[in-house]
Amino acid sequence: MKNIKKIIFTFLIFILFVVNANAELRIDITSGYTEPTPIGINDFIGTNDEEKIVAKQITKLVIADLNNSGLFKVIDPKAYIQKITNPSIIPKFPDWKVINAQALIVGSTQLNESGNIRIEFRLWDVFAEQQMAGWAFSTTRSNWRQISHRIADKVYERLTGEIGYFDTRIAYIAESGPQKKRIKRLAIMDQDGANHRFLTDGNNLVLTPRFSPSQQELTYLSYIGRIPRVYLLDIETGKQEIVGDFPGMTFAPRFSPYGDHVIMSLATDGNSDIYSYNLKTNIRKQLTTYRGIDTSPSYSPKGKKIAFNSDRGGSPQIYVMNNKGKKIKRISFGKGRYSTPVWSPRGDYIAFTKYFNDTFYIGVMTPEGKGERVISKGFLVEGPTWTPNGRMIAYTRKDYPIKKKEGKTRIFLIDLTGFHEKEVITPLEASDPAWSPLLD
Amino acid sequence: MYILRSISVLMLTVFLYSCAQQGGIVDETTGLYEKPGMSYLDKQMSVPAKIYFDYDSYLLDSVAEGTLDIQVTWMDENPAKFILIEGHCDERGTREYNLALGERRANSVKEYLASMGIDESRLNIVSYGKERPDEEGSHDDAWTLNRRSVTTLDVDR
Repeated sequence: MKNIKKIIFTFLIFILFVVNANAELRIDITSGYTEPTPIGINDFIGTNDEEKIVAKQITKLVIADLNNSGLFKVIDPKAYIQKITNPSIIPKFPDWKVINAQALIVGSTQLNESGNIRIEFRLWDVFAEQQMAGWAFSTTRSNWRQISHRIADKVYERLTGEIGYFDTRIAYIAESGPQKKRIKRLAIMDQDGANHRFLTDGNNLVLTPRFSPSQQELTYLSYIGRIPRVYLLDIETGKQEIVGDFPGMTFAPRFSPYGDHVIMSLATDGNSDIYSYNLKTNIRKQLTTYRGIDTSPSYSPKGKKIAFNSDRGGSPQIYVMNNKGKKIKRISFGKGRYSTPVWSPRGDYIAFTKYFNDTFYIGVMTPEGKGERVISKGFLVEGPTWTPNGRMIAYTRKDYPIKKKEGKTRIFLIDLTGFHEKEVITPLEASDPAWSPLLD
Repeated sequence: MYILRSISVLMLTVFLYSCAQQGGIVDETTGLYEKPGMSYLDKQMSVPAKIYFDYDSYLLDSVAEGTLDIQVTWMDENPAKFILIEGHCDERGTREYNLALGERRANSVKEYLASMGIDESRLNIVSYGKERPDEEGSHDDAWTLNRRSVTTLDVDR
C-alpha cells in the first residue's frame, strides 16, 4: 500500500487526430454474449535493453488482463504485419485492418536516471483510422505491474464505457486438508493472481473476508479461542482486533459504504439478528428483532438500505430494509431458497445464491426483486462478490462429486450477462472471494 | 431412516452398557471418547455425544431426546463437568445461513438439557455451520450424519 502512495500518475489526453463519434469503436458489454473483440497490441517500445525488459513485462501483463476480461482477444503478435518502432507515427491502418484488429495499442517506455519509468501509449481505432485516446504515466520501476493494470483499465474504459477493474485485489479463504479437518487461511492476491500471500497461519478457522472501502482492512470471521467472532485485520501491518464485545457468536460481517460501520449478525439463544457497529464510537445498534435467522446483511452503495437473508417466511429468502431496520420488504419470490444478497457497487442489482432442486445458482435481481436472472449454477455455488465496476461477479464453486470423491472448491468469475465464466487461479483450493474496491 | 436410527441408538445403548472399553481414543479438544463414527462422553461408551437433525431443522425428535436424556443422567452424575455443545450442518446451505442454523441446533440441545434441570451456567454452545463435517462425501448419507449436534466437554473451563 505504501508503494501506491509513491506513484506519481500523470494523466494527459493527446490531441485527437479526428473526432467522429458516430463511427467510433464501442464494445457493448451490457447485452449478453459478445464475441471477444480482436485487438492488436504493438510490443511496448524501449530504446535500450533496460527499457526493453520493462516494455516486455508491461506488454505481457496488458495482454493477459485484456484477454482475461473475456471481452477482448489480443491477436497473436506473430500475425502482425507492421512492427511499430516509433510511437509517434500514425499506424499503417491497412496492415491492421487485414488482420481484423478493431483497435490497436501502441506504447513506449522510458527509464530515467532516478529509476522511474514513463509510459506513453495511444489507443487507435483501426477502422475509423483515428486515435481514440492517449495517456502518459510515471511511476517507480518496481510498480510495473500496477502500471500495466492501469493501462489495461484505461483501454477497457475507453472501449466499453465502464470503469476498469484490473488494478484491484482479491481476498479469499485458501483451503487445504481433508474436509473433516479442513485448514482455512485468509489470503490475498492481485486480481490476476500475482503477489499472493497468506494473512493467517491456519491455526484458527477463518471465513468470509470482506474489504473495507479504503482497501486497507478486511473484516472476517475467526474461531480464535474456539469462539466464532468478527474481527478486523489491517492488511499491511497484520494487526488484528475483535469488533465489539458481543454476548454471543458474531458472523456475516460487511463494511458500510463509508467504512465507518460494520454490519453483521449476532447469534444468541438460537436467534440471529442483524446489528450495526460503529467503529468510531463503539456503539452497536440492533436492526432486526425477528426470533429466527436474520443474516448476510449487505448495504446499498449509499448506505441507505440493507439487503439481508431471513427465514421469517418459513424458508430462507431475501429482504430489504432501511438502515434503521424499518420498512422490511421481501424481494425474492422465485422457486427455491434464497440467500447471501450482495448489493452491486452500482446499485442496480443484488446478487444472490439460490438453492432449488438439488442445484445451487448464482443470480441477480433488482433491489425491488424484479428481473431475476440466473448467471451460473452448479453442485454448490455460493457467496457472490462484485468487481468494483459492477460488471462481473466472483463466487465459490464446489464441483460435483466424482464417484465418492468430493469435488474441488475453487473461485470463478463470470460476467453479469452470464457469459465468459472463468476460474480465478489460486495456489490451493479457494472459497469466499472478496473483490477489493478500486484504488484511488 | 427414523426407525433405523432409533433401533441403532437403542441397540448401541444396550450393547455399550454391557461392553468393556475397547480401542477408542480420547480427543483432547473435546474430551470425548472417539470410536469410528461414534463419540461418547465417557470411556464406558454409555453416553453418546451426537444427535441428528432433519434438513434446515433445529427440532429435536424422540430419538434425539432419548440420547439427550442419557446425557442428562451423566451430567447429573458428573456435576463438575462443563459442557460445550457444537451445532453442525450439511453442505446444502450457504455458509452464513448455516452458521446461524448450527447455533440454533446447539441452542435447541442446550434448552432441552436446561429444561431437564442442568444448570445453564454449565452449558455453552458453538456453531461450526458446515465447516466441520463428521462424514466426508457429497451425498445424502454423509449429509444425514453431518446435520448434528455434538455434546462435548468444555475442556477450556
